[in-house]
Amino acid sequence: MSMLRSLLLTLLVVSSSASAGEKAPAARLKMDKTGLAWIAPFDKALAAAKERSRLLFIKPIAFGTKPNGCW
Amino acid sequence: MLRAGPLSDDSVIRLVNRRFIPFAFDLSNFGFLGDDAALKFVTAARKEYGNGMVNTPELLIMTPTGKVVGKVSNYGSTEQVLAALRGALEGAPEFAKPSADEAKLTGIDRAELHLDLLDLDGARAALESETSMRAHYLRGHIARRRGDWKAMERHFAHVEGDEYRDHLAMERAYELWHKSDYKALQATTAKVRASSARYTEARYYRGLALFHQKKIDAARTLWRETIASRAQDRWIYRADWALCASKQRQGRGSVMMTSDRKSESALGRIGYMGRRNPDLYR
Repeated sequence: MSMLRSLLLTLLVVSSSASAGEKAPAARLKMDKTGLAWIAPFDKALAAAKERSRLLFIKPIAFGTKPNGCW
Repeated sequence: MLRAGPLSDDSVIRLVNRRFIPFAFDLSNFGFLGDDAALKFVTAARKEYGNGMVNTPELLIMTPTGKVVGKVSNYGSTEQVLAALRGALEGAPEFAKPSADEAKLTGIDRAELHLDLLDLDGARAALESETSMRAHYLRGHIARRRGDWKAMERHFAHVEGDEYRDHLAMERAYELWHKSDYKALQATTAKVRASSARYTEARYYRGLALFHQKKIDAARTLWRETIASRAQDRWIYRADWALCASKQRQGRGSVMMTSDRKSESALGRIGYMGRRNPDLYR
């Protein structure tokens, strides 16, 4: 019984995780900020640009991105 | 390639973090960095980015009102990125003004500001009356960035203590790299401790020292271990680029360069790694 329960729990966790074909909320992402101090999501970046009177440095990515923010 | 190359370069990082708001997002609906607001903002200026037909989108520099004031090819070099950043700031000076806090900076802090803005003369001038250990170190660092090795050593002669040990080793490593003294570069970078902020940088250059001494397998092992040792670090992207671009051709003793990213990227990177890592071709 406990094994079945464990299996069901695992399936539940896996199915609730975003797959490669889904978008994930920006808050879940871990982008590497040891170099460039990326600001996300865009609304926050745009607000910072307006508030500080700074230009946006935008890198669009075409080949897909991974859950850890890697591309 | 931008990420492993120019976007991991110290000069680019300093200038962008000081004067720009860096943002990255996925144009497709398949990635984890998708952002509808960003897509709407960018496609208003670049319609072609909205239909999934652009395989290698340019890096864009934009005003908060959506005007493109600079761009760089996805295969751009560090020099091209820096030129675009400077050009954008010159073309839109209203976004290049110092902040209220920056205007108050003096001494070491002002020197750091000038270093971020790639103004070495300004940084040197800001240190004029400074006599602290940090000031001596920064003078040596400025000399290093100018390639004035004698001046670098003259200033570093005043720097001592455990806090600066790894920094001095790594700063001196750049002279050895510049002079292609790979044996000494290997030894010097090996002195940088794992606890240091310069550790992955040192490991990257130690790998290059091995690579250029034809110790390809050893270099690749070192880069692979460096990547595995850090979850997040800008130097692991560059190490991954080197790893992807270098292969030992078994049994022939020669090196084969490749961009076979799928089989080689230790980070499991998705993006195209680029044709050449310039550090491997000298």
